[in-house]
Amino acid sequence: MKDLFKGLLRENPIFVLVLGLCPSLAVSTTVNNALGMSAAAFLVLLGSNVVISLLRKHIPDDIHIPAYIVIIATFVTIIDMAMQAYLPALSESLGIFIPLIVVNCIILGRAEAFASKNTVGASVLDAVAMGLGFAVGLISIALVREVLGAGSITIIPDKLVFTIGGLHDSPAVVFAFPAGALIVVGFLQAFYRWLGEVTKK
Amino acid sequence: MKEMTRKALGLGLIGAVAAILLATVNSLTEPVINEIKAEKLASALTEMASGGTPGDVEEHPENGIARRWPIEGTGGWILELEASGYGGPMTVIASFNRDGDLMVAKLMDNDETVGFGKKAEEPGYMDIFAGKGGTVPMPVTKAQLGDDVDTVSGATVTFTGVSAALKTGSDAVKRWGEKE
Repeated sequence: MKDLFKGLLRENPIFVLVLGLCPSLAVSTTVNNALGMSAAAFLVLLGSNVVISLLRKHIPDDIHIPAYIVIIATFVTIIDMAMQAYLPALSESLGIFIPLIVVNCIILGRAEAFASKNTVGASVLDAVAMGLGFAVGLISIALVREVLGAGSITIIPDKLVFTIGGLHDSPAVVFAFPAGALIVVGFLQAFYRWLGEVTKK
Repeated sequence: MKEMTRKALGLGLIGAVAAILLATVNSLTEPVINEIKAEKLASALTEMASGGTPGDVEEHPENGIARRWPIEGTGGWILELEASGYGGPMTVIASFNRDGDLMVAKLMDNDETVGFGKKAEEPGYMDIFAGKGGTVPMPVTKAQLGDDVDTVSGATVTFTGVSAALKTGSDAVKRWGEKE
């Protein structure tokens, strides 16, 4: 159980391991995007962790990186095609960042550091833990950015959108920009690390 | 040598399995994706034609214009224009009457910033260009917008991209009209 929650604080991929920062900054403009990206990254992570763990004794060391990349790219492409077909609006708003999951350091990082050395069961657990950590990190960045930068919380575009009175009319637009994303990530990183210290004691 | 062959075969096998898997998924999703694209385009074209019927498409008639459709019945053209925004290339679909006046325009594919350039997707944004391009020139700088300047504030690059594309379209339609 402890392992399942390692991704939330102690080994949070965004704030503690500092992996996958590029998509975290780019797609965290709305909560809806963060939810979609988290789900896509989690599915890829789960698939690649399982397959890599299954094949860990059969993939020779010299070619393990290209083999991992092929496996990860396959899962990403499947998710990309499925999203374009069945969730076109989300696919449009995440755009290029879905294919770019291929080079997301969290996925390759977990394949290399965990799935290639552990059993399938443990790798599934690791994918869930890291996926959860990535989701919590990404959604917290998006929540702060969307509330301050647009005065709204978008869960489903045009259907489930909460607006926040004064902020919606005159938002602090800097948070919608990449510079605002960096500021938010900085503060959240400090907060998560402090929380990690406190809970350790 | 034997070791090398084993590695190559291993990697080849992984690649082959991946290819089969992707081909299967693609055969399932491709028809759905094409249907979505066709529906989106058809609904945009009907909206653009404002009462007329869009005719047969012609690919890449000129630089900056990806496709054009003649409007049968009322005359004029529907154009798919290539524009450049803050987040890279954008697509604008717009209809013009024979004199080059903009009738309806819509920002389609784009990667503009939420809260800024994305405002150009909202209904109402294109009103600042509507009816212009023929006798009244298309506004291409913020100074030419007058009271409408608030609509585009904070997203100058998007505005410049959209307005330049619309001007290209309007100028082309006027030229085609003169040739007739």
